[in-house]
Amino acid sequence: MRERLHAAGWGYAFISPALILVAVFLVLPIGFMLYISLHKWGLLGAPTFVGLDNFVYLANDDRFWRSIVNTIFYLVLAVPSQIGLGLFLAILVNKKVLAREGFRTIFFIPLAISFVAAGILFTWMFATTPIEGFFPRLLASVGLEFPRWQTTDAGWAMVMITLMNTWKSAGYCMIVYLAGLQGINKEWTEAAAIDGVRTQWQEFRFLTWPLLAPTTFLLVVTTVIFTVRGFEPIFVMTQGGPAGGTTTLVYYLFDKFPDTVGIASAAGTVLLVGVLALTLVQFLAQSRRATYY
Amino acid sequence: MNRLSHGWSILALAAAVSIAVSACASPAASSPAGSDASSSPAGPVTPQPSVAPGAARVNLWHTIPAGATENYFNNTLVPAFAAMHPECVVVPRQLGVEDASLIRTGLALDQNDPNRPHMWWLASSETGAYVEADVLADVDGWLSSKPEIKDNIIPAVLDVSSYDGKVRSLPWMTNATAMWINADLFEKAGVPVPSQDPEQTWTWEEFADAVVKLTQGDVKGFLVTTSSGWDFWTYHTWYASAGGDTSGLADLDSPASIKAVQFQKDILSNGQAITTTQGWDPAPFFGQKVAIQANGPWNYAGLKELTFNWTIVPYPRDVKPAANLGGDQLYIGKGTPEQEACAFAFGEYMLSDEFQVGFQTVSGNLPVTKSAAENAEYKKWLADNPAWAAYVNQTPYGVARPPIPEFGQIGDPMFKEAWDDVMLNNADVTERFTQLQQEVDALLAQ
Repeated sequence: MRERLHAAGWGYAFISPALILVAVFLVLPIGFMLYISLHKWGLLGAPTFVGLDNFVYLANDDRFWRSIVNTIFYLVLAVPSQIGLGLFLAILVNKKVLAREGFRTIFFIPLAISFVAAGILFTWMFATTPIEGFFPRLLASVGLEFPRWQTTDAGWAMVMITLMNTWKSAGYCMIVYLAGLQGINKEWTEAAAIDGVRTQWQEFRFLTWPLLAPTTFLLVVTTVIFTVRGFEPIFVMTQGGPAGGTTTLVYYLFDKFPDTVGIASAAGTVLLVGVLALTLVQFLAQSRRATYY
Repeated sequence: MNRLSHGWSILALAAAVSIAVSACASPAASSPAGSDASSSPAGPVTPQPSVAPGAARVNLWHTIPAGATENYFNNTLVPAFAAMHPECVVVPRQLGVEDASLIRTGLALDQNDPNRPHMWWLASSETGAYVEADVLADVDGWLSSKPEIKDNIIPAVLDVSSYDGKVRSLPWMTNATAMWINADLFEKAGVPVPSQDPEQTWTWEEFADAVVKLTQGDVKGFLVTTSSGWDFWTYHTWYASAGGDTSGLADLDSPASIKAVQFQKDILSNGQAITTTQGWDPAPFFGQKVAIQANGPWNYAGLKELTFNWTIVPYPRDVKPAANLGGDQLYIGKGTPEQEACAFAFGEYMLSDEFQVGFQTVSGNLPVTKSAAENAEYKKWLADNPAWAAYVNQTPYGVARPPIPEFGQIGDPMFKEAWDDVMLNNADVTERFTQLQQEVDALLAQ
């Protein structure tokens, strides 16, 4: 008993720095956000308790509901595209091709670039107003018009943000998938061939893809969280426009700061609950799937 | 041995706690006043002067444009003030980006915290929030005791500095947007260059006629801003010029407002303008994509480099001339009597001709006092930069954004989205701005 207590003491001592950091930088801010979500506050002076008024405000605010729709639209566009491209790149660079290491580095480099720099770069390249960027001019030279994503077409604005986000984040998915692919035992591939798997597509469909399920699950969870909380691409490329068409929940929250921190905190609480619920659903869905190894 | 190990584990736990606690402690606790600015909660910092015993330290948080203007301020104006007032030490702190939330975070610091701002530079739109939170010193009382200073401030600028019937801050510098015009394109299109006198300058009809003639090939007549808070600022000029009531928040669904918005929508719909999400960016004008752009005097250095002929003229007039007065204020926060005395002494120096003429000629912004505007040195500078007469002449006709606490929510996103709906999504002006007024009314009623 004494030894177990002693061992536990050491255990707590070693995890205490991490625990303290998590408590100070995660638990405490979340607790403060929940507290402020029940108050009226503008950073100045003392918060005033208003009960659930901030949540009632959100429920009646069209802009809030539209931001939720925009967030879901962004998720639907961004998550499959970065995971899909990441998987495609991982399969490519997993093959023995010339300068494979170089390609891996090239595909990974965008991850090292900041979202702000990437956003500015994409805005320049794809700008449709006031001065057209490289790609709109290229299309114009062959008589085609680039979608007016900065002005009239909010749907395309979200597509452009997704394009930048995918270019930036696919390298992360690629690396994770690459690790998953390299963890697949060669003997299983040989066994599958004996069992009748003939084409590369069949090998991918019946062997590789099922074996990558845990990796895909990890990526879906992380990219959903990264995407939902994504702020910089929108701030840099569209500032939530045109006409609020790219105002996601995070950007809505930003718009409410600092004048109405209580409403921003209530929106943050909704975001937190939403992300937790999404993750829970993903965990439940994953737990029902067969595990292959 | 066991007891020793147990002791070590407790020691390790205590060390971890103390590291975490010290990391989270107030910067003030770990650094003596004035000795370590790097622990500030704000952004980039300026080298800190030492505070002599008995002198009052007053922190000034600002976003004076980095480069020549900030260098001039730090190296010439601050030392000059220090020589006049050895009992005061002004400690400037460059915030990097003009962000109201940074200032509010600073004001949330304890009254005795050495990092708390005692004076700060910010646009007037925050005034209402400060008054509501009761963080400002009695500027109105101080100014009333100095009638020679108060009377010297340009009335329109004094209005910008006021809220709820009292002067709440001191004007540091003022500016407005005016119409930059490409004189070469005007000449080519046969459009006369308008007068720089706001009472004699072009009318809305002449402006509309000009943008039609100036739209040729890839060049458009005008630039309309969308998707940013900038559009609400420039809207104020058109609204006031159309006869809108500027005593408070604009009546967004009034005939003047509808007329002002419809006028710009028509220009855009007719293909005589292009849009930008960054109205302050001079690139479309510099790149000769537009013949006219509304922009501000802070682009002084860039304009001087242009290789084509250009000048600046006032906004076109409808019922009356108008300009969208902006600029930055010196806010003075509540503090000790010594700190407030030093802050007001600095405010007095800031409103002197020496400061105003020096600062505005370096920055390109406009003086806030009558005497500085009439100062011989400033007159000479204006003679060397004749285009600036448009800005100076417009100032008396300036209207400001209302500094009510809800302003931040109304300008962006409410107005921005309504403006975008009209300009980009072809929404009906009357319907959309009536809806906007209802949204604003609902917000103000809360």
